[in-house]
Parts: sequence; C-alpha cells; structure tokens
Amino acid sequence: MTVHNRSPLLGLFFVSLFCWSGCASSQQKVKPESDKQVVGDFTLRDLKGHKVSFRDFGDKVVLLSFWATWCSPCRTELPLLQEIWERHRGNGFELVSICVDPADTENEVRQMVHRYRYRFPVLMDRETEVINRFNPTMDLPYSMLIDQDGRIASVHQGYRIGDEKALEKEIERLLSP
Amino acid sequence: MPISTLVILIALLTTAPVSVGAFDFTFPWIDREASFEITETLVLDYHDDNLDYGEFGPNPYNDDYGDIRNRLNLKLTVEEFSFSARVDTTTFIQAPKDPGVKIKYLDRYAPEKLTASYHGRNLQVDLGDFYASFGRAIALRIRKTDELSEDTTLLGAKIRAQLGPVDITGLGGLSNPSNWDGVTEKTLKDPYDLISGLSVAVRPMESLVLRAHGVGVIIDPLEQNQRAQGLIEGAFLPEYALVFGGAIEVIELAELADLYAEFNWMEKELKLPDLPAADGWAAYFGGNLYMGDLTLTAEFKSYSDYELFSETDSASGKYKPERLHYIRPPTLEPEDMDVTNNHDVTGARLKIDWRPWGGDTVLFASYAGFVADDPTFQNQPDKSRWIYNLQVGMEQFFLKRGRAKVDVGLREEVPDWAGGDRHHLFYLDADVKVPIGARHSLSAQGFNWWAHTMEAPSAYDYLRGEWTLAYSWSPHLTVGVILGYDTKFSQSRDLEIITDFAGYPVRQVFFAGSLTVNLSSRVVFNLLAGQIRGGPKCVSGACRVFPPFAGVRLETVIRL
Repeated sequence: MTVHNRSPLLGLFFVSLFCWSGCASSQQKVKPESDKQVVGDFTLRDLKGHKVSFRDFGDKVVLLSFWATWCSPCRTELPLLQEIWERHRGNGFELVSICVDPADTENEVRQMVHRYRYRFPVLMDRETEVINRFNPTMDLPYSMLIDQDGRIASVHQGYRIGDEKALEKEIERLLSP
Repeated sequence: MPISTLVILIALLTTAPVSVGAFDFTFPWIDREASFEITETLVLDYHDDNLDYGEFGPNPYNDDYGDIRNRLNLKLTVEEFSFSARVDTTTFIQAPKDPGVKIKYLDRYAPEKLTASYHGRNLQVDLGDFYASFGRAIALRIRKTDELSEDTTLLGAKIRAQLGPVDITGLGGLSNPSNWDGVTEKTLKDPYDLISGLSVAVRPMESLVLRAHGVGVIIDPLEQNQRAQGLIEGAFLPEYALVFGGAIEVIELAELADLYAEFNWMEKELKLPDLPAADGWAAYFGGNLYMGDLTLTAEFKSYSDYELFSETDSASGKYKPERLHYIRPPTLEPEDMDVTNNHDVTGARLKIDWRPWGGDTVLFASYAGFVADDPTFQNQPDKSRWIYNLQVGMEQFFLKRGRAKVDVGLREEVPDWAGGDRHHLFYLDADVKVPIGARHSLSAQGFNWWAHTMEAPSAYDYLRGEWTLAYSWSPHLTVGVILGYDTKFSQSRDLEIITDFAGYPVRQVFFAGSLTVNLSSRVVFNLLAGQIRGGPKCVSGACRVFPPFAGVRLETVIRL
C-alpha cells in the first residue's frame, strides 16, 4: 500500500461531492410543481385479509407510509402520524400504512399494531411488490403524500423528530380549498 | 484509467439522470396518462487498509482501491400496467491484482432486473423478475433482504387471481440473484435453479382462511455451474426438492385472538447419489391473545431436516460462491440473532407485552426454549443441544415525540452431553431519541454483546457492539459518530484497538463519522468516513460475514 496513490481517489470524492451539490440545487429550481407523478393503482391485503386498493380512497389526500417492525425511526414516527390522521381524517385525509415485514415475522406485526393501538389501515406488502415500485432502494421509513388527483405531492425519506410538523402543514395546504 | 477520464465519467454518471427528469405524459393513441419514474443510487467507495483477517489469514488484498457503483431504476406506469428495469454498474479503480486475490474484482455493466406487470384488483400478472412468498416463508421465500445484500428474484411469470372466495397464485421461473455481491464486492454467477409453485387459498368464513401450496425446485438442471463439493457449510446440496403443505388461519376470534397453523412436507433428493434422500417436515403454530392492555403471543416450531438452499458457482475460481436460501422459516428469536440451527429444531416462545392503562410505557418479556441437533456433530444425530433465550425490556414515550427503548437478554446454547461447543451470550439493545426544541433532536442507538464461548479445548470471552450518537436537524441533516468493537479475534474482553494476537495486526475497535443531508425531499446524500465493524450479520436465521470497512463512502439517492 502506498500513500501517494490515495490522493487522486480522495480528490475524486470531493469533485463528485461538488458535482452532486450543484446538480441537486439546480434540480430543485427547475422542477416545476406541475411535474407531479400519478400514483396508479395497487392492491394489497390488510391484517384482516381484506383486499384494499389505492383507488378505494377516492379523492382523499392520502399519506402512504412504509414501515417495518425492525425499523426504529418508524416506531417513533407512526404514533405521530396517527395523531395527524386523527386530527384531519374528518377533512378528507387518510393515512395508509404499508408494512414490508416478511411473512415469517407477521406475528410481530400483529402484536405491534395491537400494542400501539394503530387504528389507521395497515396493509401487508410481504413480497415487497409495492415498496419496490415506489421506493426501490427500500429505505425506511418512507412516505408519499398524494393529493386529491392521485398525484404525488411530495416524498419523505427517513424520519427526524420535527419532520411531522412540516408534513402536517403540507397536508393542511392540500386540504385547504 | 487516467484520473481526468474518471472525473468526466463520474460527472456524466451523476448528471445524466438529473437532466432526464421525471415527467407525466398522455399516450395519444389510448388516451391514458402515464408516469415515468427514476430512482438513481450512486455509491463511491475508497477502501483504505481495513486491518482485517480473512478466511485463510491476514488479508492485505482488499485494501487501497476504489469502486463506483451505480443503480438506476426506471419505471413506466400506465394505470394498472407497469414496466420496470434496473441497470447496475460497478467500476473498480486500482482493483487489487495481487496473487492472493483468488476471485477477482470484476467491473460489471448489465441490466439486473426487468419486469412487466398488470396489477388489477382481482388479477395480477408479473412477467420477468418478481418476488414470491408462500405461507409464513416456510414453503417459499424469494425476496430482497438489504441488510444481507440479498436480492434474489425469480425470472419467469407469476399470476395471481381471485375467483370469489378463492385466491390462486401460480408461478415459475429461474432463480435470479443480483450478480454483484454487495458484501464481498465480487461477482456471483446465476444458479439457474428452476422454481415453480402453486398456492390456493379459500375463505369459507369471514375470519377463516384455508391454504394449500406446493413448490418444486430443481437445482441447476442444465448443469451451468461448477460446484466444488456437495457439502456446503455442513449441509448437502439437493438435486431437487418438492414441498407440499397447508395452513389454517383464524384471522380474528371474537376480537380476542388470532391463530395460525402451518405444516409442510419436503421431499428432497441430494446431489451426492450415495446419500439417502433427506426428506423433512416443518410444523409451525402462532397465536396472539389480546386482553386489553396485555398481549400474549405464543409460537411453536418443529423442523426436521427442513432446509432448502442452493449455491452459486464455487469451483471455476472466477465467481464468488454464495449460498441462496429459498425458504426462511420463523426462528422465534430476535431477528438479528445468530441462530446456528433452524432446520432440525423443536421449541416454543412465549411473549408478553403490557402497556399499563394504555399509557406511554410498554413493558415486554419473552422466553424461548428449543432443543436442536448439535451442529458440531453432523453424523451423530443423537447429540443435541438446549437453547434458551430470555429477553426483558421497556419502551417509554416522553416529551410527546421522544422515545427510549431498552432491552436485555440472555441466550445460552448448552449441549446435552459432555462435549460440543457451549455459547453464553448476554446482550443489551438501546435506542433513545430526545427532542430538543421543535426541529432538533439527539439520538443514541446500539447494542452490546458479552459472550462466552467454549469450543473444545479452549474457552474464551469476547465483546461485540456498535453505538451511534447522532444530532438531527429536521428536515435538513443528521450528523453522527459510530463506535464499533469486536474482540472475538483476540478472544479477550480487552478493548485493544489493534491486536496482534496471532502475530498479525487486526483492528478490533472502529470509529467513524457520518453525515446525511437531505438536499431536497428527493435528493439524499450520505457521507461516511472512518472504520465500520465487520463480522457476521443475521436476519431471520440467515447470516453473512461482512468484511470490516475502512475508508470513505459517498452515497447519493435521487428520486425523480
């Protein structure tokens, strides 16, 4: 191992860091609001075995939230999402959580849903069909806020304490006439 | 490759997806709105000297090189129809060429997954790459497990249809793992195993579901792989396997309980013809009892010769051999536990959750006990061992958005005879998140193992753990420090940073810094610098040994 061979590689990281920062900034500026993607339909089963399609939620504002039992930030975020859901569900908002636990840990899912008294819909994506469609990197938690026209208003990767405030403001903005 | 060329190449790679952008459009001839999505992940690694110890000794061959990995996911959706493709590329810079590197680091540029789907409410069809799961993953489990860098699909067709109260799933295809292995950074060859299956579920009553399923697996029927031996990690590679089974599920019993029972029979012919066929079976039962603030969970498993796996090319010397699991029966232990035998084992787990008065505190305890064939003595099936795992913990919500979870456990493996290996493990897991004002928070998360192992004739202790302390500013960034340690190599509880226990320098304490920046909600940037602990990582009973990392890692994820 020689020390002088390392410097070009380290230089490469800084060049690409600079490049990415520039690209991302310009991306934020040029992406117009009208570029929202349509979600399309999908069907999963809930914990009672009933089929639930995205279309079932009609023209509501929907937050799709992907989570798993082993995901620590998900455990912090979900009770806060439930509070937001309870505050706005009467105004045309729906929280749809999609659990990506595999089939072998389904008992854990049922236990967790009961323990925290989640009352919002919990859909099971055992074969990761839906998460792969919207979030192929499978980062958790991951959520998508969808407007009344079925278009993706925003996406949220990860959870930091405080994120729920900004999310609730977005929901209120979409719900406002 | 000159550095200037590389810089231009990276600039092209990074700007290409941004310049394309996401867009919606309408197909004029069918008047349907379509959506085109891009998810782009770019990882740049510089590998410094990780001071590791490889399979056969000190390992200086995986140091001082770089790699650029790109994963481009493309998706076109038109109502219920979707078409997706994933293209993976890997480029090595100064890839190790020492004679000690038996399996080369190979550049790779190839489409990895390709799928066309129709997902209607009562009919779903997937052509190309798809995931699949039957039962509680006991009969079949083909899915992505990022923690182990596993991403196996079946390349073929899957059809799922609902006809009144009957659900039918039929599938068939070739096993298709990701050909670039994220753990070793080597290339895997496709195993060309043929897998087919049929599952039928009937719901005669609202709360009752009956299932029957069958799975057939033929390992490499066209003999496309060279394999070094029939015995892989203490088990024999099958020629073919047939799995038949059924399940009964009571989804809700008077809002008080749910029950699930499944049984599978496995007929298996082994690759080595001199050996007798090793048929096996698996029985699983699980149920939850809900009593207000108290939840009681009981699970039982009994598996006998129940194992179904394959292996990629292991003898040509060009490709990295890797074991592929096609089933993953429940372990009934914490998900990250190293379960040495989940194929010849019988036992149960009882778990209690109590959330007093529905408040901010949750108390939980679980006890699992098993008797398993002793894996250290393959040819003496009468030798077995007892396994116990007791875990207690508490979770507390505070300050509206804060959360603290702590649990401790004791796991023991004790043979029922006067020989064999013994393992004693005391473990601690902690996860604390503290809000500081509206948008700032501190978090601490990690685990510690105090382990005692007796592998005749020696006995030793070791420590293993990893702790992350981080500050977050919502929604912009998280900055953290990571401390890891693993003293198994020196067989001691001393936290010696670099040990020369066997006459070679091996790192045992690891320190790194990390930065995550959300440049926008769709652009996330991660930077990691320092050392990260290697060693075994396990998920649902399957484990892989990761090499330690030392160097710099830059990762960006863009969703358009």
